[in-house]
Amino acid sequence: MGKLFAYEWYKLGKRRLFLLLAGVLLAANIVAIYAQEQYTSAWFYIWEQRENFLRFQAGDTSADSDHYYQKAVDSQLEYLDSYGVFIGQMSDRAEQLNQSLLFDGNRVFLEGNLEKTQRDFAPFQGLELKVDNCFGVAGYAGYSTGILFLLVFLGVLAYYVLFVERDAGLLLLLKGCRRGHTGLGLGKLGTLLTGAAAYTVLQEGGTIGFYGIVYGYGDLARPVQSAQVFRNCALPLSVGEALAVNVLIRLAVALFLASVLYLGGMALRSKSGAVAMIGCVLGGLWGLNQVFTVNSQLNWLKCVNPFFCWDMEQTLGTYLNLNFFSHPVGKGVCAGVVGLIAGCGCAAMGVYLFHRTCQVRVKGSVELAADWLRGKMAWMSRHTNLLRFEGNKPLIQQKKVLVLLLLAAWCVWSCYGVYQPKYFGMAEDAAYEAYLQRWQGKITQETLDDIAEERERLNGIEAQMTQLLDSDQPDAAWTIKVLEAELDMWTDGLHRLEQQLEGLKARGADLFEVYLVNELAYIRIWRDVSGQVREWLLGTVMMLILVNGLYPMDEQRGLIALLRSTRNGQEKLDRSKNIVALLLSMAACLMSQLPLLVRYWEIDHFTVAGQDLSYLTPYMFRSGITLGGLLALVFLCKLAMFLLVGMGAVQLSKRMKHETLATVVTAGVAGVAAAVLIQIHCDVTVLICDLLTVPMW
Amino acid sequence: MCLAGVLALNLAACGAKDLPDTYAAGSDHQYGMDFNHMALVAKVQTGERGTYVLAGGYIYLVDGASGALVPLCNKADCLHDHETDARKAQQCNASVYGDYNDENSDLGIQYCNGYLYLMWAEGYRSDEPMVLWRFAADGSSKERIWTWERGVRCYDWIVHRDVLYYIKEAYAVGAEGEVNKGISLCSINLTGPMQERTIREQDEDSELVLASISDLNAYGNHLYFSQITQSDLEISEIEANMAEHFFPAKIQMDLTTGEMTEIGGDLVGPEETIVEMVVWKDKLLFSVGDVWTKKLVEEQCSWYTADLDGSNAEPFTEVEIPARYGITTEGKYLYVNNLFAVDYGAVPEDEGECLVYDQNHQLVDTVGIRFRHGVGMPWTGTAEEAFYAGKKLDDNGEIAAWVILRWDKSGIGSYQGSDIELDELYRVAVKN
Repeated sequence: MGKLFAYEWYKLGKRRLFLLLAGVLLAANIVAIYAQEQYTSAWFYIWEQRENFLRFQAGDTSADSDHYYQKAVDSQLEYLDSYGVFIGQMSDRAEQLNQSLLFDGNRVFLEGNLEKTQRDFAPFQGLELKVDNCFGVAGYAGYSTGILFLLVFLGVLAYYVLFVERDAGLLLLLKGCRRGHTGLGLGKLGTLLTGAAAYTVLQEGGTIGFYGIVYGYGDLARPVQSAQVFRNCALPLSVGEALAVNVLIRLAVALFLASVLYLGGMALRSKSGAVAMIGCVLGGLWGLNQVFTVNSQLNWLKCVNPFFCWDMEQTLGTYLNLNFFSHPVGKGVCAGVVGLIAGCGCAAMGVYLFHRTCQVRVKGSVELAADWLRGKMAWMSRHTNLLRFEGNKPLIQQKKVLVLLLLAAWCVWSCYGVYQPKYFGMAEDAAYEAYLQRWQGKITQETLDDIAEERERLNGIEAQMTQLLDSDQPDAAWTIKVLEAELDMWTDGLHRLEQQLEGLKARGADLFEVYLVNELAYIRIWRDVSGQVREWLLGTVMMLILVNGLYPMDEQRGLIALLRSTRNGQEKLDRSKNIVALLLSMAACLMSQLPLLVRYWEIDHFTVAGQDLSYLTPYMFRSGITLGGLLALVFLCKLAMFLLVGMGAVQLSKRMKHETLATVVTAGVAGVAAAVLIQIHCDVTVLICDLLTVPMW
Repeated sequence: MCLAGVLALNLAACGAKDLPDTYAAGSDHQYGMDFNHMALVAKVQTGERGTYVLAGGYIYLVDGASGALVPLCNKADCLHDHETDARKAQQCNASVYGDYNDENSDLGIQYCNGYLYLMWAEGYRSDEPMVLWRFAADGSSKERIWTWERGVRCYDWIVHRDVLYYIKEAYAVGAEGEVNKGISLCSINLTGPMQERTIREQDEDSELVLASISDLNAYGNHLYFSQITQSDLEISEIEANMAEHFFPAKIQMDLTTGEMTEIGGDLVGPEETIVEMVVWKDKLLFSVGDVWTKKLVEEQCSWYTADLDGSNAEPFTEVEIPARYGITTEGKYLYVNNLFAVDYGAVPEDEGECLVYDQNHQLVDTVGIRFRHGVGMPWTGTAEEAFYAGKKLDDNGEIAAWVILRWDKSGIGSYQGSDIELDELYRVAVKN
């Protein structure tokens, strides 16, 4: 088995693309950290103002012009005082709880939990904490996007280890041998596990190194509880040890995930089925981690979740005992035991399945029936047009028209949602919307007269109400109520509109040359960064699924070698494939971005597209570009992004010659990019708006 | 939300089936006998373990005889209300995420079958959707179990027999640019699959407009609420006296059949409504007066008693309720008091008093309530003790502090006109 294991690694070593991808992922992880950190105050004050920070640490308080460093020290000092209270009064709190009616009834777990909590924290009585640089350890603890890069790497690794030989039909040879089934299965498992471990160590090493270089960790020997984020850590660790323990925990998570992927790859003979199943399992685990908190009744579902265990703030910074048949058991122990059992179970099951089937693909009755039907209907797809035939291959032969239909269904559903009734929590927002429906567009004398008339109407109602209130008429109460309701409904909305007009005047606008714009509606869309990034991700992933098979499909059939021998044929074929890729990318872009376009259309039917951006009162945009121009720019950038990503993916899949691998890599990169964009609250619109904003200095 | 609904199915305690048509402790809405309190601002609830109080952004259990406030969190490794780190404060099971010192955070709690419920939105002005939180009564958990769509605001709400009833309000812009205020009374079952059900909303075929729903309450198998419908008039059509266009009513809904009836019927004349209503000895006891409570404050209301569904109404003669006096009860005693009139300045502050009647309608005590009426009267609670949790005003009428006061009712019978004695359990100064 040792030789098989070594040979698996030897094969991987020969795959330059695999090594390149691993390197790219490690580098991308560092870029993701940079993207997350560059907007933080710590980045500015500790990294960009490094000299000042070092001078402050050396005792030069004049270097702290904004009092940032001193505030950080004061905050730590305050925390150190509170830690004494936290530990010192723990027994009092436990005693109060124990004697309170809160613990009335079933006390076994509750009492046990209190005892265990006190016992676990007892060693920290009198612990000497130290004020020091906590920026590095807090930053490292707060960064958990690395698990996405790990998953992409595991996908690539699993592809090379589990699928390449299977796709080439080499495992059929093994099936006929009496020995070697289990050995090869174990060898592949070992390769996956060691690959996952090696990548994790490298990635975490890079992450720790990055934070160390940028922020520093201070004295590594001081207790980890010196950082406030680890106040509830019940492990006697120094900062250095905590970093090491975290790497070990992440190593265990990586091994567990590798086992899950191994089982998924072995359990299903269909590659797309395996990818879908693993995607569902991982998506489900991610969803559970999002839905539940550590305060939930079903918090055990969160605590044994790999996504939770990857989060250092949660694993080392949160203390929690789970109820195991009325006995309190630490969340770490529970996660470890569940992970070990599940991981070993997945691995063992995977080896067993490989032993049984050797992953030799056998067509089921449904597939045989489909083949028969396809043969009978073949006359329908006898195309002489190369472009049409190339389009037919991914959409019909690979059945990816279903993906397109799925995206189209989502598009229709989303567009339909735009026209559903919109609710406003405040009358002010609803009135503003109603006024804008009436008056938005080019401002005319008639618009201003109407607004003035409406103000007059409301003033009249107010005067009438005041008159009735002053008159103290006994029967006027209902009338006052009606008038009051009318004023409540409209006054603030009109005031907001008038403020907008004042804002336009203040910016020197000739009112008859500008437009009245529903600014709130535009702001609402621009602020929904996560929604727009999710729509982009959906469209991108669908597009990647559609285009990534164009070249690898012919490669796998061995047709390319034949076509390469005819120069003209190859050129025409490549051109057709590229045109199909472009068309599919544009289709994916259109369908994923159409709901956004409809949302913009629904605001004002683009009647105010000519408004100069500098007259959007909530912003300080540069002049010279119109609102319509901004929207056109946004959508053009999005289309360009789709085409770039689509064509890039086509070229990548052409080089890789493997559809699944190319899809896993490109979709994984898109997923990570989306996660980072959501985290830093940035998308194409925000970026363009930032570029068009007049600097404040 | 769907997942939360499925989980609620698994976690649910016993439902409200087969409960009698009377007050069932533990599962019923706890102001069921006193309809004059809005659930939205209910800061005090009684559970199996004792009394729970919402104060300072945390839920506390008032611990038995000692009266100590124990945060509703069973973790010893938690600083509870002494926490300074906002993220760690969120992990405390007693924390409700709201800043009670903020005048706008008018939160309330509701106890039902081992859980406390709290409805909350991230600030009144914010776009954040409203959320229903559930806290385990033993302090072991808290979780959000329902999230409403953006733009929807829920005002009055109660939990009764494992069902959440609430009044939903949202503004929408109509096809012709008019603003429509949508009001509806809805419910969500908290033990089964969670699904919103509309009980009362604008009837599209009706010529009357549903203007408001309020005063949500429940007792036994009955849900009660006030509604005002009005003629569909343009603002230009208003007259000096609009009373004839408004139709206030107190509605009872039978929770077993879903049938709705109007309480009072012919007893309520034009421009009149039911002003106060309590349940006394499993019967409704209500006063009829004008909508603006002028009669209650300055004159004499008419008092009636009726069955829980509003039928068989007849004058209430067992206790003579004086002019400017209202009533309240927790089921054991009937408190006849003039605090409403004091609040409106119709009666001097030093004449505030409460006449306490027992089940046989015998006057057992007279309690003087002559302190500055900035803390209200602690009615809510049990027959043994009552609590007030809310704001304490200073001499200028400004909010000075948030307080929790307790009235030990064992003294009833011995006051004989002397002032009420309240123990202060909690006080926190209002942030400036």
